[in-house]
Amino acid sequence: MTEITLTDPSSMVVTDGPAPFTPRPRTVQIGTALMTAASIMYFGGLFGAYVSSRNRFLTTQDGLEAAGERTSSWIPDSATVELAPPTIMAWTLLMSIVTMQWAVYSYKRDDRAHGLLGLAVTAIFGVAVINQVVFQWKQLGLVIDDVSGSAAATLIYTITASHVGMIAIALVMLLFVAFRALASSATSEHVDSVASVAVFWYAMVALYFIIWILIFITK
Amino acid sequence: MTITAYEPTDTTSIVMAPEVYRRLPDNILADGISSGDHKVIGRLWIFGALLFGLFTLVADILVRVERIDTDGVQLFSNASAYEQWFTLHRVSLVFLFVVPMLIGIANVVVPLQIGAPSLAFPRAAAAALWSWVVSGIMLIVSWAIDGGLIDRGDDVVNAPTQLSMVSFAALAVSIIVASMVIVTTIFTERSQGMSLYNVPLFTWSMLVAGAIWLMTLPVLVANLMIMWIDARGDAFHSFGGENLYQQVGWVFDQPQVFAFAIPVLGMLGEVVPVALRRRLKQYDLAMIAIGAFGAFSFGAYAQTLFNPNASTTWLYVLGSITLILPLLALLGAVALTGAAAGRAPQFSSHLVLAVAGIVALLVAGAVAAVRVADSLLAPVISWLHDAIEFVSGSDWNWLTRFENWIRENFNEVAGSSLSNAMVQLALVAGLLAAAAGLFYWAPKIFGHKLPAGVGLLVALSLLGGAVLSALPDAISGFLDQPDFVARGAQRDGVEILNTISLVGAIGVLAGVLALLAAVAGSFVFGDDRDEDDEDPRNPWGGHTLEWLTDSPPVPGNFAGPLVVTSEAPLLDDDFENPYAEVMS
Repeated sequence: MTEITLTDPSSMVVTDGPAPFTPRPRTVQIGTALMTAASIMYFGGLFGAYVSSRNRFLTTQDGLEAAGERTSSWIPDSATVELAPPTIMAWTLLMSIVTMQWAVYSYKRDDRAHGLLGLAVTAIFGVAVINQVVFQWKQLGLVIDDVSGSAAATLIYTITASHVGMIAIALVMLLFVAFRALASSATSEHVDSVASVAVFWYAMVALYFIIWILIFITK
Repeated sequence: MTITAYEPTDTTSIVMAPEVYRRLPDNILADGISSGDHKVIGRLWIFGALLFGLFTLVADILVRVERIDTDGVQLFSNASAYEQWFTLHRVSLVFLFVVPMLIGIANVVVPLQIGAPSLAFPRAAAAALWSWVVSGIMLIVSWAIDGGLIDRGDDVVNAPTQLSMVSFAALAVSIIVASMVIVTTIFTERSQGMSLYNVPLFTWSMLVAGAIWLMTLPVLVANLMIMWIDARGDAFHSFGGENLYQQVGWVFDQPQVFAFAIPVLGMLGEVVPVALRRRLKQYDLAMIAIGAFGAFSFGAYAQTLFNPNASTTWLYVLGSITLILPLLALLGAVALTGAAAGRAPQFSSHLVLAVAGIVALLVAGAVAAVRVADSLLAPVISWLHDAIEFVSGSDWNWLTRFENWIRENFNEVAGSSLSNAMVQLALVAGLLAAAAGLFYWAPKIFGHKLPAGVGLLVALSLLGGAVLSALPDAISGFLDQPDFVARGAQRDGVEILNTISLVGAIGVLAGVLALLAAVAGSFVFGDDRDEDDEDPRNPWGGHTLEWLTDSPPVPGNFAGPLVVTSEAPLLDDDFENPYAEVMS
């Protein structure tokens, strides 16, 4: 056991960092996993609101239909919800899983060039998805109002915008680990960091597939 | 700030904290803002929470003064302003007062209890603290300028209300990040030999509470984001009707409100064995009880906006009622310890405060049980009636009448001021636990003990005030007093009950003022050492690792890595105490 002595304060070197008494196994990974779990719960709340609101709306419409009154659809008829862009986004994100794992694999093997390449390609996929989401928002023609009685617009914008936010956070994390790898002599020292980003990224991709099915497939 | 390198010169001074760390720093502001030291961050959480708490309790008193006369709104400009202050008081009671107090204590104590030199992510902890301060101020300002989350009718959601949604979400995110830091610290920073099965009970309760907050508060953020984006729309808000509070009301309802009182159980498990000077018997049972209490307090599913039947489902009922069972299990474990000890407990203010916290929690549980009696009792009586009729052939009409009476009366109290009584008691239980923590760990948090006499006064004021303010509210619920909306036709007697309730609220404020005075007074005027104590490091005879180090702890907390084999290492014969030589 290393014995540490505290004596004259003037002899101490004081820094902002924590004292490295013991190794910290997977601290970053556990912290990221917890925040990822919190993110999943956030989307769980959104999905719950979407499903229950949609169900309540459709039940009301069934009642109106039975009474012979005019009904409306959950996503207003004036909106244009194409399936092609979301499907392309889903496949783009699916491919990003491979490149993300490629980066983790390369980091473990101290292969800096391929590690950075994997992160860069993953980031490009992420940016491409953000670009497609913005394009889709312009195409949708959904307006948040209370004319239709449907909360679809509010919920679709909240869910998709939240997902864009998650991609943006993941991209910042990617950028961060990429810079750390550039500054390091051996990338294997940063496997924990890149693996943590990977956990967050995979959760983001999985959540998009739920969005794809929940909003765009089932409509 | 922590030490990462040093030049050892004299081994006899192994545990002597440099005087510079015992006193206030030269530049409090710069040191506080820039610090990543868990003790500094924890103290700032505590001070901030106490200051926000004073505001919270003054707001509580104002709304209770308003309720003395139920004929109209006199103190506030209109009914809307009254409702906004009421909801502000409730939001700030949870997110600016009780939970931050507990987080502050956990920030200081958890690393010490598990033998860690710091928190897992010191910068994230500091970021959580400062974002909490900023968003808390924003929340109060936005609420004060007509931005409260209440029933807005057909009005367009104004800019201050949108600001209150965003600041409330930021507040929740700050608590989430702080919880993540605490949970990660417990997972990764424990001493060698300390598994999750032998962490101290306060640490265990913070692990359970942190996990529950981490899993439920993101759902609150989701609610607020939906509301905010809806409010940003071109026309009237279309989502969730016009009642904005209802969309987030589940956080302040059962069972979720009990999640903010989980550390109450940990506090009791911490101080009782020390008071009895022996190990906690049935430690495993206590751990299971705390875990079960946390699991049953998970309330993100009970959103009445999305599921109007949630308040009457069996799941909701069982979740609420079974909260009491783990509580009783923990009390059983503690009682077993007392019985096995066969000696009187060492009397202290923190013991009184911890016991008062449990009493408040039990009363809150009883009020919660009354509130759902409609869902629980009526079906049981109905089943009993059918069974008797089937067996004996006779029709017991009085049972049917009793069932109908329960359905009529108890169904009405669900949204009445009975809810306020439950929330008040559960949160004051959390506050009592926090006060117990402050008195118990004062040597570690502030460097010296707090006056015991003031501790007893705090316990008396907080528990007495909470009961005095909550029970009249509970009775008023049966007299048709609504939870917080201004309109409503209350029956006779409500005004007298509201007056009593106001006296109770003043008692709670007096308790917090006494607590603040004790903390501020001892911090400014107190000595660095308590001369009467044989061992200033461990004045209570504590069993866990935080009592090994100096009071207040030196940077880095401990002289080196520790190896433990049980939840109470200081009672273990085989524990290698690195401080033993110096202590002797």
